[in-house]
Amino acid sequence: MLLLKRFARIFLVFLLSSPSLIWADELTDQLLNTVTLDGDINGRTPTDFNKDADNVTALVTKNTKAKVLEVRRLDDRHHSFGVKLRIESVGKNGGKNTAQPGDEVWVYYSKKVPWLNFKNKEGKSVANPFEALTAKASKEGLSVKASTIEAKTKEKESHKTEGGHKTVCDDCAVPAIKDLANIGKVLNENHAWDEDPLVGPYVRSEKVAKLIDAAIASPWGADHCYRAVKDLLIAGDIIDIKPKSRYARDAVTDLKKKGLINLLDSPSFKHFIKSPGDAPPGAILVYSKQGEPGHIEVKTGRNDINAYVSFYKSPHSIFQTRKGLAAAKTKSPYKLIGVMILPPDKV
Amino acid sequence: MIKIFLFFPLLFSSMLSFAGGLTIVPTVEFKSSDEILSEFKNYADVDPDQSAEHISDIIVRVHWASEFCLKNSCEQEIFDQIVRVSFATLKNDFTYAVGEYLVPLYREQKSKFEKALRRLPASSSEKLLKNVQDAIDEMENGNG
Repeated sequence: MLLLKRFARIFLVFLLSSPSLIWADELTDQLLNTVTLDGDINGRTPTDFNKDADNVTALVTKNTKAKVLEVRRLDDRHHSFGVKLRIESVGKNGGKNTAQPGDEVWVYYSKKVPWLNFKNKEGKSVANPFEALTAKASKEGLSVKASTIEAKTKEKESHKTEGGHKTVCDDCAVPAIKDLANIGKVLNENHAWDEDPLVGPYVRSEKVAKLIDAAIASPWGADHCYRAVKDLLIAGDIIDIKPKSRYARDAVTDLKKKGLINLLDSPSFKHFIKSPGDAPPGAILVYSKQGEPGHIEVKTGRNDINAYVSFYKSPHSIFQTRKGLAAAKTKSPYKLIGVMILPPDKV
Repeated sequence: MIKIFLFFPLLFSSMLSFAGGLTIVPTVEFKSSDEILSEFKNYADVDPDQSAEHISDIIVRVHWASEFCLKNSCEQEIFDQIVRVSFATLKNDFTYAVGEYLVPLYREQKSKFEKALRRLPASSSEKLLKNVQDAIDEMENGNG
């Protein structure tokens, strides 16, 4: 009897969920219009377009042509949509993380700032991407290719994305975020950083050896962490000029501009690096703290007092120090936001 | 539906295990000056070699005592205790954690704070004052 009830419940759940499955199938069948992008847009994995969403996988550059695969209205924004694109051809070169033909990415679309232009079945431009989804292709089949549309937005807006949020970089010469995002393998607990194809060259490099030597040799008593770490990065030839930012929390952006990559941009690395202890030796660890400058330290990988070097030296990361523990207990904990290394072509 | 029923015990057990993993974070802030005094007198001799966990608990109490004195009028005796215990946490603390929690009190109740500092040995008061001033500098000018 109990078993029968369970089957009945499962059947009921299936019945309730089936309309959404059918709806999803209908959407994917409506593969249709080709669009030309008027500016650079962040390509993301899921439809989360919040500023802090850590899901940017590629940069879809201006004049890229793509097909619309799916449209979703964003609940939390008025007249805003998430649009899934399959890249057909690439526009201008935006660096290594430029979306390539065949890539499927989600991009943000707003009627107020339309970087994407859609046409309906009469060939007229429409502001609502859902109207584009019910156009020619649904009637004439997947092979229909709508005419492309010329860019209309002003040049000054070409680098804007997502309702005013800027792209992940200012100059688009960003490091290999795409490469990071495409690392699909799941790293197990025995993962060896020095054998990793992306991280290994950095871990084994002379630059890291110099960085760690400099960190161990650095004097105690520097007054500020970012100031101390900037000196270490210069000493290790990791960067050539000190970033001008004054806050450690800005180091992720600063160091990306200097060619470093953030391993936390990769879903698989992010999943693996649950604490600073999981980060590779030589990594520059960046922390944010609500309303405050944040923190930065170099992980040397040693098992002694020199394990983490900042304006001090510690066997533990900031999380396990008095400062980090007290912060966690006063509702303003440190948060690891960057595990920065140089990519293989820069070591 | 079944999944939901199965999920509840899992959720409940997760909450229990999370609660069990918490450290001895004080859960109630100070409600009176007497409470601060009796609590802080327990720290007559703060052992600087205590675990970071323990010292960080004391720093949290310094933070709450400072908050209390910002909202209420505190006697000089309370300030003396806050300053004494704060300095004790600084011993062997290479992160100089306590300074940032004293900044509001130093700014708002400077005369009482400085009077309390004067009751410490000169080298101790200098060290604590520098710690507070460094924290102010970091907040205002960044750490880079």
